[in-house]
Amino acid sequence: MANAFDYFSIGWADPYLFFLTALGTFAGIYVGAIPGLSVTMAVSILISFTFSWDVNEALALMAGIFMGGVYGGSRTAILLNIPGAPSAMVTALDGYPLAKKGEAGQAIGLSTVMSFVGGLVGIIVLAVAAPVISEFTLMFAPRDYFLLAVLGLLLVGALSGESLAKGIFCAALGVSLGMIGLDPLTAEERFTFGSLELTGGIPYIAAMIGFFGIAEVFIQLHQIGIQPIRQNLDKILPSWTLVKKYLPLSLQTSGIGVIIGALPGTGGDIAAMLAYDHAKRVTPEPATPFGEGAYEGLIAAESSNNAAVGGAYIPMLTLGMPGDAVTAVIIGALFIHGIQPGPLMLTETPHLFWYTVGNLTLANLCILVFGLTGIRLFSKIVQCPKGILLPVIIVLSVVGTYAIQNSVTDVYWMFGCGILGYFLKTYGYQVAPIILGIILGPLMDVSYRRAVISVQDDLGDFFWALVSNPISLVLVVGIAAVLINNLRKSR
Amino acid sequence: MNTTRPLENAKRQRKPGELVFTGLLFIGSLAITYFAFSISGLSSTSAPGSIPMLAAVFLLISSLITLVKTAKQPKGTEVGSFVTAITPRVVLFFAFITLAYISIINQFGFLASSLAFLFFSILVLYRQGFLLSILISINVLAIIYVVFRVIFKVILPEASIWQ
Repeated sequence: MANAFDYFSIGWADPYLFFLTALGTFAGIYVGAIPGLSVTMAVSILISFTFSWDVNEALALMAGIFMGGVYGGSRTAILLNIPGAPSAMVTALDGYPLAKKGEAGQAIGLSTVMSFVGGLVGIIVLAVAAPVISEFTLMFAPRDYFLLAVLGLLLVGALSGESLAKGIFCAALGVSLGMIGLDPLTAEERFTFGSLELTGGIPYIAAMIGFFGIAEVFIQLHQIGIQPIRQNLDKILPSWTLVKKYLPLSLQTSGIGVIIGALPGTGGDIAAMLAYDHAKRVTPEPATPFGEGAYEGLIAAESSNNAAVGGAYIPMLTLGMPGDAVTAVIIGALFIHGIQPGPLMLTETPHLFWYTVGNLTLANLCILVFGLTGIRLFSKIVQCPKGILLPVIIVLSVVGTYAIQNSVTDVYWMFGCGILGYFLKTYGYQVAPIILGIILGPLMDVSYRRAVISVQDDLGDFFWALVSNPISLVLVVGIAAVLINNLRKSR
Repeated sequence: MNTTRPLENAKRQRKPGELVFTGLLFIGSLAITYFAFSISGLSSTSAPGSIPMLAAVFLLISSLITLVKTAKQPKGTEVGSFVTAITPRVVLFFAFITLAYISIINQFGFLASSLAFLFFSILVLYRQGFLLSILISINVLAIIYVVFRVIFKVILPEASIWQ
């Protein structure tokens, strides 16, 4: 145990490693805040710089960027209704209404503190229960991933706004868009219409920037002459009373975030969705309705998506399996430095495990410091005249989209999604379910077909497996509960 | 649990063009269903077209429900026509200039295209004169270029017209 603490504190005691973690977190926050500049991209770019570095230095920087980037996505989600990352989509639902009321400072302050809480929970679970959690996640079969994707899609009821039918339409549209390209199992073309550009599918980042960023710009054009809302920045740091009041919800949703983050292939976006739905269930009478600036919605989203970071490290370090795209890149970095993450890591190289835990803890603390000190500067963005802000957002969106694959085709997709998103939003549709569908559709497709193929295409055996296995049964019950709740709400 | 305010439970009025839009979505759903079916038909439960078909069915049903509900809603009387309420001149201008910007970015490169886009957009939307618009455009573009190209080493389109 004494050794574990020694390894944990390496990143804290060494000034250069401390600096790298802090630098990574700072850069991650501002990278994460810009739609299109994804954390995955930032970490991937940095990998090439760190080839010649010591592995500890590389890990320190990447942990900071990861933690900071996930949190940073909430900034523009709250201020501009343009999520910096998919995991911040849910943050925008209540964060942006708060900014429209002039409470951006308070929203960012609260999201910062709760991100810190969520991050801490994720790290504690990583430190204490990593082997147990990883064993549990190994029990997930393809059918369970399918059920998880279905559950995630059904949660559109929480995002549907005025109409469940419109929410389901958007989710189904997202799934259909996610199917464009080559089938991952058979390489058969789907919805490509013989076009080479379509064989690669639509990058979901381009769709997200389009549906959220470009669409929002066009909606804001209707208010071009209106003075920007003056943000109240007197109360940035939430009071201890407020924090104590929402701490139980934050801890609950952090737990959800860790579990979902620990599942290979799922991440903060799904965690935030499930956490948001949980918050709606346990808060029957919020002071402000969900979707109009409810603190509970903001807290649930931010706690869970930061907790998912710690969760994502669990399969990465203990099984050598990436928890999400960023940890997939980090695994690559570890291999380059001659380290093999996996079941033997805790026994053969425990120093690396505890050093990583120490880095993440430090990065989490840096979020609190950098997050709370940069709010005034960030809030100025909202007070910038729309006549300047809106064109700048377009340019940033073009840059961010082009950066994905260096393709103008992606930029055209972004624009097309933006125009469609503008009309959808105008007529009362929510676009978040579309992005959810694009992300979950491929997971649902591959998982379902693997599950069915494993029972030789026998649907009877497939459905029997859904109810005869404990994990599947729990998920089926969860799906049924959500379905019944959605139908009840729609009446 | 009802988290909507009482006012939102009152009958919502139809916006200009909404019926046509939902009708177009329904037609689009029919098309998606057809193309989903043409992937692999109903050949097997694990065929590449199975999930696309499932999504298409939900798309079709939900768009039909929305179309019927929208048709039953009373038409709004105070919000103006489709052109004034949904596609006013400023929206059309910005859509056109954004599309133009994207279409020339490969030929003229990121810097020239973005400068032109920023300048004309800010000139029209901010309305503070030629000089201020060009100054703001140059400054903003310089910051964006330094952050993205120099610091983050993001590849930006180079002008192909001179090649």
